[in-house]
Amino acid sequence: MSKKVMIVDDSIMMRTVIRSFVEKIPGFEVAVMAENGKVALTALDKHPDLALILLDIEMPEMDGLAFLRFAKLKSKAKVIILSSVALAGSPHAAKARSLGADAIVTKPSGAVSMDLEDKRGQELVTIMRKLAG
Amino acid sequence: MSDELDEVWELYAEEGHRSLDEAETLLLNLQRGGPDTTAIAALFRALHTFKGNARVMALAVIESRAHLAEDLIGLVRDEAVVLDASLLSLMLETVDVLRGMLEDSLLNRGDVAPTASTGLAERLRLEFTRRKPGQLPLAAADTGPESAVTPTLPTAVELLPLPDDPVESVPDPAGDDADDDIGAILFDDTGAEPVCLADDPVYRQIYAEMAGDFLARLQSAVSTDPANLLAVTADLADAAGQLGHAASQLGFTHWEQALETCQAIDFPDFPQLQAWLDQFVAMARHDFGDSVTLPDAVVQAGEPGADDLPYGEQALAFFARIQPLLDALSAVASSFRDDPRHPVDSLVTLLDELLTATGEGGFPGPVPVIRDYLECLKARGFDHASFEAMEFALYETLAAIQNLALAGRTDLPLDAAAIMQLWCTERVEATLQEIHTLLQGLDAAAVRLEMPDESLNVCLRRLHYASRQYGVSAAEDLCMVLIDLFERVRAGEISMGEPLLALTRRFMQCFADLTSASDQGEVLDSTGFESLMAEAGQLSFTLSDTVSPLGIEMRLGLPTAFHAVMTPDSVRMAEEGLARGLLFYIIRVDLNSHELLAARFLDWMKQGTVEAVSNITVFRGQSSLFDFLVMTPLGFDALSEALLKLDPEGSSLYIEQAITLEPVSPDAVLTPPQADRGESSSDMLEHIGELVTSQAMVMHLLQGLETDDWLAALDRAITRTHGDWPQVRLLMRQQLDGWRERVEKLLQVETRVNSLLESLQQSALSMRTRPAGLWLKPLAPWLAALARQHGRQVRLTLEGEDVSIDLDILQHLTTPLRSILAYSALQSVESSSERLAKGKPAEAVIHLQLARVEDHLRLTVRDDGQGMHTTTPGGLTETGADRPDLTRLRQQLRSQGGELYMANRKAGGLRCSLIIPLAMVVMEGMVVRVGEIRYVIPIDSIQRIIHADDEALTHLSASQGRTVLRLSSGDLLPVQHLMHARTPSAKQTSLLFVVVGSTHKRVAIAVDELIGQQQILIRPLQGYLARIRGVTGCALLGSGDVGMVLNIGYIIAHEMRDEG
Repeated sequence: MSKKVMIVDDSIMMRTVIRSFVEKIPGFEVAVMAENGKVALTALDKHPDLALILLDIEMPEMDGLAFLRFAKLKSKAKVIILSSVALAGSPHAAKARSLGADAIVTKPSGAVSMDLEDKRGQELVTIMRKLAG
Repeated sequence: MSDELDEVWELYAEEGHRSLDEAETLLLNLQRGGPDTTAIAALFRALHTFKGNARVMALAVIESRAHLAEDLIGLVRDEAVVLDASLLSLMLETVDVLRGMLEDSLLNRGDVAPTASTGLAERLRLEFTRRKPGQLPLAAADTGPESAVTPTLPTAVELLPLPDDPVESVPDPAGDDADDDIGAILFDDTGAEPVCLADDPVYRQIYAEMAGDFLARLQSAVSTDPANLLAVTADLADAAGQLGHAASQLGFTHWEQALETCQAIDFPDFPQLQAWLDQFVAMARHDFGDSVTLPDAVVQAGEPGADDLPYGEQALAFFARIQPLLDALSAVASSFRDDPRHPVDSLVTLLDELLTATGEGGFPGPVPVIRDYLECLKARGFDHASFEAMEFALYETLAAIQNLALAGRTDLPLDAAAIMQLWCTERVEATLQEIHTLLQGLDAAAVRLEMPDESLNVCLRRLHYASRQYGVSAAEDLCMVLIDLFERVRAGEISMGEPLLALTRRFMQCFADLTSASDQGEVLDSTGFESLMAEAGQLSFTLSDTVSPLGIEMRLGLPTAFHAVMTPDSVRMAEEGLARGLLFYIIRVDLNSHELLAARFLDWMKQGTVEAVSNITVFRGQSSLFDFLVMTPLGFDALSEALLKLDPEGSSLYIEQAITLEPVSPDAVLTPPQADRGESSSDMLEHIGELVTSQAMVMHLLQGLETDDWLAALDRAITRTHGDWPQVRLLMRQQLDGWRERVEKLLQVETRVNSLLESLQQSALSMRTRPAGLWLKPLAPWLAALARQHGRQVRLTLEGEDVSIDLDILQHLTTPLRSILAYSALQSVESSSERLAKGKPAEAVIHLQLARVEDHLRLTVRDDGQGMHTTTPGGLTETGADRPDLTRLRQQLRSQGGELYMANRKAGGLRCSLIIPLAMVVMEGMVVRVGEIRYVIPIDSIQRIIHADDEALTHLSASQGRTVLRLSSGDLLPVQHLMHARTPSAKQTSLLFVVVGSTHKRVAIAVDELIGQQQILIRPLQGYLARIRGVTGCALLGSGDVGMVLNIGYIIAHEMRDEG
């Protein structure tokens, strides 16, 4: 049975890129996509069987770090921060770590990174497989 | 002394009014024109300046209010919080209040009463907390202004920086009111961070809400129709499961255990449900108080009696029971330290008792910790490392129990949280040693690193808690940053390298210093940790052999938001674009509203005409727009046209900013530098951080080069190829290519370091300089008051207020200038009645002109009085009781290389000229190279730069064979050859000349290379060097070289004399 993934990103193009990437990985399927933390929070109750959440940080209404807390408490899904502002060693990354993010991957070329698969694909697959078990 | 006080207050008044005027103008512009990052940055600076001045004047109440306003705008500037209408209105109101405070403080020469602005301060604090949940504004932690209203001037002690603001997390009073924060980004990413999730107040609040939901379901089940009981209890089991998961995440083991019981019973009856309801209501009331929403039926039933609140008492009883056991545990540990062969039986017995106590006490959290250690102890015997690991885990677990069950209690038999922090603090040295050992085991040269185990993470957590004990939040943060970096190494995202190891070692050194300072009762300094934080942010660049993004960002003048998203790849790409001469633009795109347009835009970019370097999110209400930094050979018009083809309406896709690069051609090099970029101490700190990482990278590269053994490589190549010479050549060529690559990298780093040094120097200089107007303006009211006291009316007019002057010069000039002005007003200017009798206006005008002329500053004072009455042979008046001692003043000025001239004007009145050399003055200079020597030519004196071939050079035999330069206009300019360039090289076909002087007196200085324009601080030459003619002083250049600053006045005079 495929592991269910939620994608939370405020860019429709980015959600498309991530979905396309996830759907190519055997054993994973995209269960739900949300454009911000608030929408994702509503979706969380309807998808109790999520295995992974790929979560952006900078989003309107409710940002990724605010949603992260709800996700950690309300879902057993592992949370991978996928954000352009979470550079290694940055305060955003440290904050996400302290709030319990299971992994952090930096988007390679900004908030809209169409080259995600090329530049971070291998690393992301490894982390997803490791976390989803 | 009185004059000095007056001057300080006048300066404060002047700057205060200007800062508030500027803030108000900016706010009104922002209100009309919408978001503008430049304006917001300027607004922040204006408030910052106002706050800083209030601090200097020891006006604690004013400072605190300004600080709150600054913090709020800081959120807008740095954290994408939207400056909406309500915030704008509040800020405008704040500026009004600050203006009133400024006036009051000037009247009273002291601080204002806090009560009048308490309401405003509270609103500012609330607004901050609402927009940045979980954190207090930094101003909130300042010394309470209400208790610090002594209207005194600052003393040395008061001028010391405030201690680090202890930022504490607080529950979000706004709860989940995200709707109110339209477009706001809810970052709360600074300040001390919890390692344990339960320490985070927002996490606790969310859990409380979940617990409230669960209680509502339980209440519903209790009162449900028996026919529906089965369905209701099935839902209840799911809810218990979800809440149990949340409890496990936060380490609320007693909730977890109780909820497991709920799930374990498949068909609970009504009495069972009621018992659960009572139990969970009691737990929720105790753990979360008013934060949890209880079911209506429970609320109506009223407050419980003491017997219904067993949980806190239970925790207290548990702590009381284990307290002697923990003491005994410490004693046993001491026994083992004294004698490692101490029998383990007593320890096993003790741990068994502890295990029983935790199990029976209803707090199962510590159970696995103790059980696992017992197994280890029985199997392998005692060792200190395992024992201490168990101790740390045990205290962490107990601290979590205390945090939840006994928060706020002061009657604790055992303060587990304090013990844990102390435990970590006492072991800082051992922890640092452990990290040192772990680092030694890591192979810095390895591309990927398999971290040995969780040991490093545990060590860093220990230091995190110790930092909390010391109260140094920067150290707490840095621990988390290092955990992040090492986790990324573990995940393979970044590679282990010398820079990371070096950063960790410096962190350890800082921590050792911190411990030492604490032991000796000294003030704990967090600056080292702050600097390392900045360095850590650059580490991913260093580790990928890329110089940090700062240079590119400065070169392109990018909005600060790009700083957070620039990756090594994007920096490399932008550098290549610059090298290719591409143009840079920021294109704003709405990718979300028009999917088709977005797809067309992204397809268009794939075609290659335009390359995207990076992009950021820009929030507009609830929408996300994106700013793409792109590079392209297309000009503005061509790019606009291309975008209009994609979006004919031009509303969703347009050029937001065309980036203008700083000019680099020799013709353009005289263009004045860009306006102030708002350099601040934080920018400087970032520069320093980058320098340190660059230094680490240099060390890393040098170590690689140092270990190259060419002879050994040759031996290996011969052995591998069995002496096949072409193969040996091939292998050695590969080796050489690798070596060259590292050398090239080293050269790149060197270039970057030079550029950083220059930036740092410019930042430091800009912090030292002030516009002369700041210092001159307060002289007007002072002079008017002085004149009034002597029956005169004087108005001072100013010229040259924009000239930048170094702070040291200001100090040197104040006394002489006041003396001259006083002389003019009291000796030359007549009394009002005398002036009226002479047919002059009663009010005299004294004009003060300040100008920088080549290598000196000239201050000229002219008045329309009667001039000097009597003169000494030196041209100066006799001194008297109310007359400044001008003779002495002149002597002082001369000793500093300056001069004072005084003369009566033909038109009437006095004219005084005060001249001081430019030593210690900041100026713009063109750095040139002649041979191996760097010279600096004052930019004001340069007329043009000429490339000429040697045909333009003529030797005039009539003028002792001197060389002149023939211009295309036919004019001849004398050529001045500086040291090492007495004669042009025979091989040179193209010569470079800097023409200096005025229209009628010009000299062409021959140089080998134009290095560039810089702001420099001139230092006087000392001792024997002071006798060198033609040189004003020396300056430390950005490259680290010393440049000789040419005295153009002398050079021209010298040339003219020779000609004559």
